[in-house]
Amino acid sequence: MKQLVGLFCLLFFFPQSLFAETVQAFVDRTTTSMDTPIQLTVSIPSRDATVDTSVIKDFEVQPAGTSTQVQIINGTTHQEETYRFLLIPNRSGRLTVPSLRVHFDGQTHHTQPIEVQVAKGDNRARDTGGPGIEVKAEVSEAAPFIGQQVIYSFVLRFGIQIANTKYTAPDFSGFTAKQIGEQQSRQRVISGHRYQEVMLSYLLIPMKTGPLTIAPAVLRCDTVSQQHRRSDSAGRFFNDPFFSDSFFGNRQLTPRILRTEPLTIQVRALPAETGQAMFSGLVGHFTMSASIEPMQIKVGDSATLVVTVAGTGNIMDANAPVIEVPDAFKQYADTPESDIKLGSEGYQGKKVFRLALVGVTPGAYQVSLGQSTYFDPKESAYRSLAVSPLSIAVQQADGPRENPVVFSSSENRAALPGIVKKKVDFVGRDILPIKTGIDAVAHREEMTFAGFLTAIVLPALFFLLGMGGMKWFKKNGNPATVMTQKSIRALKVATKSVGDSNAAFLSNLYRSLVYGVCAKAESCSESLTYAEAGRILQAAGISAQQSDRVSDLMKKIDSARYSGFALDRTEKDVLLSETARIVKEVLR
Amino acid sequence: MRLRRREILFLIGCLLFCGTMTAFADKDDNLQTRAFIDGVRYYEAKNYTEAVAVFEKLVFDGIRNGKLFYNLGNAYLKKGDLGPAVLWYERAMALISGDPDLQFNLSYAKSLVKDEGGEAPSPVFQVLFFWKDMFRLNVLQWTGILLNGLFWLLLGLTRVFQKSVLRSFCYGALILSVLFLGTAGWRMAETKYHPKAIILPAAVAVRSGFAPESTELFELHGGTKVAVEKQSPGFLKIRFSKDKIGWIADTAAGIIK
Repeated sequence: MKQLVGLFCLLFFFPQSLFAETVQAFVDRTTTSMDTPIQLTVSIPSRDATVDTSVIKDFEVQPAGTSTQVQIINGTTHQEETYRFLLIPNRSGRLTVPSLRVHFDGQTHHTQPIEVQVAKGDNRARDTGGPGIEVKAEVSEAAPFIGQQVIYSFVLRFGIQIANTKYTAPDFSGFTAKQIGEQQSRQRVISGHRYQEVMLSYLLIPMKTGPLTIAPAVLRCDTVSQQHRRSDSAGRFFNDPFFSDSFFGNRQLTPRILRTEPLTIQVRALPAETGQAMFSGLVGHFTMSASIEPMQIKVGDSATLVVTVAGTGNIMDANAPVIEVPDAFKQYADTPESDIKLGSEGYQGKKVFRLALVGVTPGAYQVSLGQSTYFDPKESAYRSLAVSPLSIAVQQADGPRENPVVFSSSENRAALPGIVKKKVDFVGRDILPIKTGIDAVAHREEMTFAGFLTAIVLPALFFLLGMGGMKWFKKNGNPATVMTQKSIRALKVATKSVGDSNAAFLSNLYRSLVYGVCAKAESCSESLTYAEAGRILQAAGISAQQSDRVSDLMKKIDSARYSGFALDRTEKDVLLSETARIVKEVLR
Repeated sequence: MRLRRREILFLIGCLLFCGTMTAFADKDDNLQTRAFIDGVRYYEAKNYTEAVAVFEKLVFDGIRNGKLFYNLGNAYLKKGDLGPAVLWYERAMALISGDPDLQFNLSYAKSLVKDEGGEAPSPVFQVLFFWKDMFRLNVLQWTGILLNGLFWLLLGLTRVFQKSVLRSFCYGALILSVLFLGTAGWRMAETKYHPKAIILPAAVAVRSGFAPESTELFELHGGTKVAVEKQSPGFLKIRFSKDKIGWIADTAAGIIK
């Protein structure tokens, strides 16, 4: 018996303990390398759970989906939710996936921490003997000067099929960085294998001196490999090439992470300036040219001085050179024009400065341009930017001149002739002053949502009230209604005054009758003769007999009113009940 | 009718109470005016910290005025606090959006904001609903309410006089009132249910959760405008752009109310 009970207990409790609500976290492998992510799976016996992965610091966490499994055992439903994450190691060594907080059904649970051994990765991945995939990064200059343009190139070379590539550029901290154009692809044959090469280039300009490290660029991708065909007897049936098509899912994707080597660049400071000329701030290779067109003008006419600074480097920072113009000219500076492009060697192009010179005094003059320098990093020396003085002759004009025509850039040409238009630029920036009027302390009440709705609904209510009122007045202004009400009211007063004097009682009875007849005639009147009452009632479809009874009652009341006899209570009651009955019949 | 002694005393008491309350109210107004003038003086003497304190005290006293908010924005900007400056300018915009000084200063303050991009309404939306931000909210509200009143009045007159010309005006008033009231309601609902906020500190880390050890997703800087997705005690879930959402402490952003 005891054995039977024990067996029953075992059978009853075993499935329960098997599906006890526990949270489990496990990884697909505990040994990996920097270039191979691992998969973390968290299994939870409930839906709508939250898994806090923010505590994982040694890995980059990427959600990889969830799935739900429902089992019915012994009539009991068990549900399991599985959360999958892709963990990308941030460093090599012994890393830990810490205890994760999992919240569901109002309670917080914790998973067990997991240790993962991460070996150093390689920036190459290769199947045995075959072509592989590799990444590398390089810079055009390992020891640039501050401000010098450096080209950073990232190269991805692969001879195998890859998919789902995701490139993460390094954080170019300490540089200003700009991508040069789009990625470039080409095919190469190396050691008898054909490779596809993709290159991305960035222009970097170091912003500070000293060693600067460019962190590794990271490429995540899936390498695609064909699954082995089935070798068993059942598999032979599917060994048809038709079933080898990728449509039937015989491709296998293996996630890979490839990192470039970090690059350390030693940024040098610019050497001290030795010459007299002022440093223009330009770093690169530049030339300057200048010309005046025409070189001979008359008083009042204009010539255009064109100064062009061209080259490779931070050309956009080029400023207008100092131009010494004799007092014999009026001068009008134009907006500089730039034609700068970002190419494989960095920024290159030209900047053109134009100055309109209007001759005022005849004579022969020279216009000289101030000398400045730029730093040439290839030569590691400052170079001069200078041009020889330019000659211009001004001759006496034939007659008076006004509004000389001067050159203007294309955007301003529409305003010609005569006036040199200039784009209005800020020469200083500041905010406008504060408001000093004391109305600034007056509180402005804002409309609440309830107030807004009330204000909308109120006119509609007024409208409905107005319409209702009109309808009511229309109904109650009808003479038949008015007279009916007056008749009933008079009868009520008579009933109340049955114990009072004859005059009041009889007067009300009489009025009740008259108003009742008038209601039938749909006319308003305070008195009627007996004949009129009879006619009205007959015209309204009342029988002659009933009309006579009304007329008789009116006579009876009248005779009682004016005879001077005092009616006793019984007589009054009889008269009242008769009047009430007849009024009721008339008003029916 | 003769009043009893107790009733007379009660009336005198009421009069004294009302008089005292009125005197207190006047006194409050005077104090606020004096404080405002002090704030202006501090500002003009380049003592921006004191100016901020004075203007802010007036706001906390319950004064809601676009010009006061504008002054507060100016004082913060001069003090070097870009985030609060943009916040107060934006709050002023809700009240005096047509003020050219405010538009100029806000534009200048925005030019100093470091974060680029953010969420912009779709061009289609801007074309279809171009009038949405064209008017101040109270202008929209009152115009809509007046047009609504006019519609019901014209409807009543149409019912009484049965004139077809009145009916045409009635339809016109109805269309316009629906347009204005709908836009005002939309703006009010937007402020209440989808508020915007301005980042206040010079830089703030936007995290994946509440805990300080939560992953830092991205960084925002003072003056950047964000949408508030959710408000939890002590925290705000904010959205900078479609793909940049995270949590920050509620002290790190000021909601534009």
